Amino acid sequence: MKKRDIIRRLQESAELTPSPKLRDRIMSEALPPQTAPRSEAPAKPARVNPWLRLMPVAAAVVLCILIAGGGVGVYHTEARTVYLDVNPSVELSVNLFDRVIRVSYLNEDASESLHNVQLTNRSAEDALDEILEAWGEGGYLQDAELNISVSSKNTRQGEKLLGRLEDRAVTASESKGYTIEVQGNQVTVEEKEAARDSGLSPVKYGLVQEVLRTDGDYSEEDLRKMSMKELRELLEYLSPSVSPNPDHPGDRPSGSPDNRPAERPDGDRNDGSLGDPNRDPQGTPPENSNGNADNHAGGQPGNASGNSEEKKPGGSSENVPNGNSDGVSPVPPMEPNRDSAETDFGLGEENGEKPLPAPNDPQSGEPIDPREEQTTEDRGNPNTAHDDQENSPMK
Amino acid sequence: MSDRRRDSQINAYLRRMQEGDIAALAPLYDCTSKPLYALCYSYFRNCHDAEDAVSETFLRIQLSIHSFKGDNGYAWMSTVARNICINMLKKQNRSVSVDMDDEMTVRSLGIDQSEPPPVFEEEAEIVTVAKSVLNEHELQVLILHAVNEERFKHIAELLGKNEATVRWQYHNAIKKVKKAYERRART
Repeated sequence: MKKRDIIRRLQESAELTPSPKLRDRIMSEALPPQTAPRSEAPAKPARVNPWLRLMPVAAAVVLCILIAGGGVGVYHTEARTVYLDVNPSVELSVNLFDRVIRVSYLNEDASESLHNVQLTNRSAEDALDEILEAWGEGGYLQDAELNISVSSKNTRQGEKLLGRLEDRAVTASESKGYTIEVQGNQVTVEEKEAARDSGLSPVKYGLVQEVLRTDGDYSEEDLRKMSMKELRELLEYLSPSVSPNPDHPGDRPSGSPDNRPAERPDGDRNDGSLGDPNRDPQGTPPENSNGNADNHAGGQPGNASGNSEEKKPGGSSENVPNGNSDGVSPVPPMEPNRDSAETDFGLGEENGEKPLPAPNDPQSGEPIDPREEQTTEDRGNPNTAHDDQENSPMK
Repeated sequence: MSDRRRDSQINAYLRRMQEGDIAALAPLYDCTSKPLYALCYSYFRNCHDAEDAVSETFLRIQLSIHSFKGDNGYAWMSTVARNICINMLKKQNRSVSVDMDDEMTVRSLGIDQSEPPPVFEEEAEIVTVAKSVLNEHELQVLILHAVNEERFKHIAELLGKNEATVRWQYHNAIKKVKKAYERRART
């Protein structure tokens, strides 16, 4: 049975649908309109110093002077960075007003496809439209994955921009007939810096690093040329027991041999930080105090949340309960980003995507098809057995 | 209906209720009853208590409608529902358990036993399986994400958990249900 079937059955389950009697009951119990509490009644206006009335005017005048004098500088100051990855990969520097002030092509496909496209001084959303149109004409947007990442010191503004860009991408794909899966990520400044020298977008850099950590036989140069979708499929192939999480391509699968059911340190990654390239390759995350941006579990080169994530000052750990109270294996599995435009429940096989060539099963000598609904338990993975022991069903 | 459209509709209904338009309660109920019910069900694992909790939730929402501020009405409603479920569970844990075989007790409590117990059809069986193999947190996360299609971020905020933990619990829950359901189908 596929995961999609389970979800469908749950959604259609009568057990999880309220009876019509409940509606009648609630309507019959409806209260008359509630008046606002007295404490919320508008207070009498206080006497205002008449000079204070001039303050907004004075402030506006000062602002105008500042804008006139320093506006040019502000306009050309980068406030946010937007990365668009399909296989063409482009970086847009965006100012406070969400206008593109600089464009960097991160690979040849991007420079070839976009060199004739005017992007600067356009809004980020309009620039996205232009880019998608160019890439659509170039045939890059058929059965592809579009990854939109935003890096911003002001997380809230970054989140808003990411949301708008995702919406615009979805609208464009629907109207123009692109078959793309839109994935959104927020990227921290640290991740951006880590990827800067690589010439890749932070998310792609993270994916490449994760593949290299998982299997060192691949060359970085080859990986850099792959599209986002190909990289994720490769990661899935390298770790076939877990459905891919576009936001956590580096997550260790819960049934994989590398996933030890070790205690995860406090502060599960919730700040979108990339995996630490210097961490233990076996995947045991370093012990970390709260608030450390490198605090992570299992190596997550992508954003932990997928999109629209509010990063609290000092890292995510103030939201984090004390470790995993369930006492079960703490490493999060890879999970399709439900927030993306297309819902992808499965391992790619449910979307009919062709998997990469599989290695041979060491026991049978036959090729292992990662599309089969095989669990690691079926493969005799001792860690899954351990998981079962830990996660015994509730009585 | 997309999340954003649903959210904006819910906000509109709540604002209408704030302005005294009680006719907005019906469409608000139609829009939110299923996810709220599923949320409450995930706490109690039975229909009766879940319905009670939903009823209480809508009552509480009407009483405290003026305390709703901001632009995320559904999150507010689900927080109210969650708090009600937690309070009811606490009371239940303190109360003496009811022997449903005791006819006098059942009658005095006004429990309606005229309806036959639900028949476990094939579609309903998945829930039975899920309840039997999942712990409380896993069932909650599974219902909230798979049935209510809540985002992991919202589920994490609602349940006071880390988002990565919620994702992992969801995935683990799916795996467990899948295994148990396949095992059950073979028997």
